[in-house]
Amino acid sequence: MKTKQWKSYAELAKTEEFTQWVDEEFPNRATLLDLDRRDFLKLTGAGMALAGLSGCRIMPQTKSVPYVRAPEQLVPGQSLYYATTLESRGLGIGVLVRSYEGRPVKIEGNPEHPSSLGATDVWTQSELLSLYDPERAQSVIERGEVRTWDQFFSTARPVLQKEAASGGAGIRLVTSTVVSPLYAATIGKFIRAYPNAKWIQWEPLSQVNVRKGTQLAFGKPLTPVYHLDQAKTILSLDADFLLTLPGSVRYAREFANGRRVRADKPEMNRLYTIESSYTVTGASSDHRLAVKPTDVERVARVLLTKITGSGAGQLPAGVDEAFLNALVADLKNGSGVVIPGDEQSPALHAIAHAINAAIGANGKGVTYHAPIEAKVTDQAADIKALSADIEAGKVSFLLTLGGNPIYDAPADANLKKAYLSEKCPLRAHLSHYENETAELSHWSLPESHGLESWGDLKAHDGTVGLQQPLVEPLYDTKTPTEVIALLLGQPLTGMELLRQHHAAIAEPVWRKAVHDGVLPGTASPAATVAPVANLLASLPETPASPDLEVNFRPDPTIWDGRYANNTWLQELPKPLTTIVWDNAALISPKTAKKLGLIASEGNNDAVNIAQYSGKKLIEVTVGGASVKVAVWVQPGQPDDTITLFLGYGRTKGGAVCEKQGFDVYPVRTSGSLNHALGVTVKPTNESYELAYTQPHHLMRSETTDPFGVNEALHVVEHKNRDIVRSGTLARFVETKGHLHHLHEADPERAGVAPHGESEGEHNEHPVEVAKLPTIPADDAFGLGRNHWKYLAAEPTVKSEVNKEGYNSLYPEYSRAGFNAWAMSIDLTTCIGCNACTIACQAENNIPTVGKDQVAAGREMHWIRIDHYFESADLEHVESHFMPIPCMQCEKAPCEPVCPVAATVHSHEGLNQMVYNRCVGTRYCSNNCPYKVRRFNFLKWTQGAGGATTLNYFEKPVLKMLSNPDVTVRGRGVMEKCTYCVQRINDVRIEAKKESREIQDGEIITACQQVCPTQAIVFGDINNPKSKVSLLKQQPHDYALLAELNTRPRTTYMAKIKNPNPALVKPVAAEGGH
Amino acid sequence: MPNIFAPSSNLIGKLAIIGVAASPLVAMITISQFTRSGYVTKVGTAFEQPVPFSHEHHVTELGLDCRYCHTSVEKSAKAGYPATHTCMSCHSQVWSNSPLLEPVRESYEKNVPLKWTTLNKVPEFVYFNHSIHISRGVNCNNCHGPVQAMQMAYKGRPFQMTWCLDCHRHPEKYVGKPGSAFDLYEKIRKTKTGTVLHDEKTGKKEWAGSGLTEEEQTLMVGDQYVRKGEELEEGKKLVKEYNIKVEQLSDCAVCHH
Repeated sequence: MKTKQWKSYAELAKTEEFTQWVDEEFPNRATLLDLDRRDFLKLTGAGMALAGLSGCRIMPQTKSVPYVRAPEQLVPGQSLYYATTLESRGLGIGVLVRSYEGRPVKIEGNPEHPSSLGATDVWTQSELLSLYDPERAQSVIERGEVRTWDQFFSTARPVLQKEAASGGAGIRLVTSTVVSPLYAATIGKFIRAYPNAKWIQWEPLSQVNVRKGTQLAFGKPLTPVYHLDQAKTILSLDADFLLTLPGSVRYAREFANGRRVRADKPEMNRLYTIESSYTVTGASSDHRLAVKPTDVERVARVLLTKITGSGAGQLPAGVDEAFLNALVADLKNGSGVVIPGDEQSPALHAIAHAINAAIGANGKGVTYHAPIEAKVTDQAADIKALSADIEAGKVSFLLTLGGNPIYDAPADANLKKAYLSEKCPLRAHLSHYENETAELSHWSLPESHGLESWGDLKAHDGTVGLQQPLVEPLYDTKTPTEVIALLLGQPLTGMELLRQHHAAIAEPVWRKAVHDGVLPGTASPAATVAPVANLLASLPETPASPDLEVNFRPDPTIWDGRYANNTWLQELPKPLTTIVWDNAALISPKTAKKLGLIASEGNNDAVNIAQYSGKKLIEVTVGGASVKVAVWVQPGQPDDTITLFLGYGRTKGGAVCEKQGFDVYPVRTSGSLNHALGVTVKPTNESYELAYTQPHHLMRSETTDPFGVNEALHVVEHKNRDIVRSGTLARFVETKGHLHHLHEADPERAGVAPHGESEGEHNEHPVEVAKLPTIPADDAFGLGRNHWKYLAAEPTVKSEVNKEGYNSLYPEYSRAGFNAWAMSIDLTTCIGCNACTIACQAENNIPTVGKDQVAAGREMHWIRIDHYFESADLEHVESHFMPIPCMQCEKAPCEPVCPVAATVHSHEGLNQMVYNRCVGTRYCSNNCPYKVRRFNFLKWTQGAGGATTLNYFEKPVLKMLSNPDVTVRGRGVMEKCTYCVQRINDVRIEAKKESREIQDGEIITACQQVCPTQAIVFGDINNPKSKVSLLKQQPHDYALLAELNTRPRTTYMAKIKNPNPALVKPVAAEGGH
Repeated sequence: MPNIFAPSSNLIGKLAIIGVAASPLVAMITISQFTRSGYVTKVGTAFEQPVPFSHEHHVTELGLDCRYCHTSVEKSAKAGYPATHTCMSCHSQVWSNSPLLEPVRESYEKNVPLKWTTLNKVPEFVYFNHSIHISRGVNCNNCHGPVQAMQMAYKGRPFQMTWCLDCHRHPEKYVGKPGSAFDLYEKIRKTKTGTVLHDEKTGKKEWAGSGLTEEEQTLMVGDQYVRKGEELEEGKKLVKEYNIKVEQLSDCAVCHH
């Protein structure tokens, strides 16, 4: 079966919209500036006449403010790094935070923390913006009036005193899942003081099913921790362990460690995924089976019977028996592990654990530990009971600490109605934002951010990470622990509370632990487990489901809604769909057709889908309730399954989150927290435009050659060359890693150039440097200034970067005598998690632009993750992710076209962008074949993108967010990836002061540092022993669009997959070259 | 009919034509001179400060090292301003009742920082690092003018890009031996003389004292010294020793990022 790479249905359909995106950098831009010719000329003339004046200004008088008493260790102009622990989706992750003159400016992973290993995820990265979010809750508010904390406590304490008589029977404490030992102990004290008070944990996404699953399998609630380092076969049962499972950052590293294919180590693990939505884990897998949520359990049952060899199960329709047999053989081969997903049923978890026991994975691929949370509870049942208690008038004091139950509680709990009944006389809500719950509470209390607090948080394996504040609270805020302590009459600071809790630890050990950010030896020990006998018989039957199903998933950027006011996350293209600022209902092409959403006649399917997907609303009805959601036809989505993402449609909590997307909580009930059966979908006629980046920055263009110029010049036409080069491990071994050399077509890929014989000749002519024209060293492009030297005598780059060996019209470029910075990106280990995009945004002061501007193609991310589908048809797709930073071409096409030399080459090979010289002609971005340049169309930092974006000028707190080492760009200026030149300069100056060379690995770019899988490596290619040099010598290293001869310093390692040979279908004979 | 214009008006007409033709040039020269003038660059203007701190008194007369107050100049991009605590380390004993020092005492007692008017400042898109320049033996006065002679501090150089590039293209003209950045001040400390004298008749600036090289004397009076012959060769040798890659010094991203 021949496959083809494509990005969107519009591309397959070759719609007008698509051709515009390819041909024009920014389609429809004429409509943005509605001018006639005369006005245009007038403005141009005035612009030219006045342009020079814009550069004139008299520097404003400023003040220099030194300390009164300088803090120890603080050197002005130098950063300090502190270890602390932040909460990422409810669990602790260790971080090192850069503090510049007292303000935190960048978050990095803590290599000593087991959940981080030095990397982080998008949520941890964006905590920085959450800290400085101008819309944070800043003061104590009682029914709209600003109050003080004292006023709150003097209101609450008498209520507590009154309650004390009944042992606190009327008190309800609602928290998120508590994973902090200190917090848990403080709550414990509260419960001891008020023994009849009830403590309820509620979080819309919890690990309740995981605990219930181990309860079924082993008789007690446990936390499974997976160890993928040594695993040869991994099976994910609806588990997105690379992105959303607790511990995902570590799992991604371990998974990638087993997949680094090198010429001397051609081996890798194999990942099977059986899932009910399309996730990045599914996209990274070698074999993927997309089935309905309930069918995952059915398949797993059969799998268990096949492995244990007892009984036989009925496979759901459409599932290939051969697939299961191959999977069983692989799993039984030793070093296998099965990972069940948090959103799957307890029964599936039990089955997965039974399989793990049967294949001998227990103790190897998976270990079981005591639960991380302080108390294992049935959260949905508890929150329903709370609602009933309020309605019954049993609650006199309701304190919700964190979370947002009014927004995200199950619909059948009717919590909002209970609140509005006003039967509970005192409701207080502690939160980072004045959200929906705060709106319905009498008191809204501001909560401290993790970077302002003392505390401790458990990691996915139970390790206790310590939290120390980087700044004093920006506003008059408190942590939940402090609030409870104050209610108990313990006016202690956060630090005192924490130290008191860990009083048993000796001072030197404590100091070191705070310094390291981790309490040593706190990972919970593995428990011994005994599987229940005859498990399958004891499990309830999988419910029959003849119709559509819905599954609810956390949004891959804003999670359950808690990150909804974070502009960085809102504007981050969601993996696989690339939608921004919205959520959508995912539906498969086949189901969309079956439901009559898209026409089945007329044009072909691709055209129909392209005209429908992301443009209309559908009505999804579950039980009695229904919601209208924008529809997104997603290839790879299982048939008869609608995936709905949580977190959107907020009504209160900040301008950024309000009125964005669709609230799907109204159809989510306590019985269907993860998936619902008996769903109906109705098309509506309502239009809605989703903004998504999938068609932006298309690199491939169907070039035409009407005059035969290319042919005459022997320019090889690469229109069919895959941008993401990929192949199987078997082929890697067979070709010794030269997957795509000499244009040898991989017979399975239609994409690889089917060149004629004559064109093959090009490869035998490597560049002969001596024959190339030279330009005087001092006069490159006639600009004077030896800003780019050509040294024909030192042909250092003959064929190392450009493996294609094409002749070039440009003279040779020498990198002799300087560090030559370069980057290598491994496409096999890139999982498309987007962490690099956010890390880059934080490091380089990249603005956000708002939904409308993204739709116009004006997003500003310096490193984007391109996502390609590869398939033979519309449905059975594979996905490839490709991070695209600036390629830092040695022969950069952007440079010669700049009329003001605002983009020029450095001696270290950086393609420098000089903001203060740029006049905004945009010629450079026009000429960039990789489309990595970003233009400041408007004053983004002054709120030009709309109310939802960051307005530094009206909200001065945001100024604290910016990295002091990077210029904040103004309107009319081009920008792009700089290889983090500020970090290079820092290290270079330090090395020079110490009179030494820069060591390999000393400079780490922001994207490299954050990458959970270490897919990005940066270094000096003039050092033959540097990591990046060694990677570039790998046979499967290739340059993107190498035929353009731009000699990019960023190169890629081809994507290798490891399909089971038993499942690789024989190649069809027709059409092969 | 009498002529309206006298013959002399021809001249006026011609001059007017030349004047109009020359006006763009005149305008350009005027603007370019204006932007380089002290009015814009503020070179030589002493601004009002919370305390009339005299560098001359502290450096020349008392012999304080620059690094006593500007502590991070060797370590960091920023030279650093002294904390009030640094002032008080002496002024809790010396001049402890001086009314001029009232703001310092107040700052120390009330824990409210002093707010100095910034004199030397580069634009936001320029990243200057003090420590690397000091480690290459570039004397403070090269960029800051005759600090040791300033009663009230003022900006000593215009900080225009062409001036930066002069050194970045020809570092041999300014680099000094390792650790020599403070040599000049060492000598000032020893001789306790560093004040610039003005000869009222000739208008010449001079330095009173002895034992200084010609270059140091020039730096003392706040002029730019032009190295010649052997000195230049010496500079070139230093550039080589330091392994300064001169071409790279004028790469844009060295200062702009």
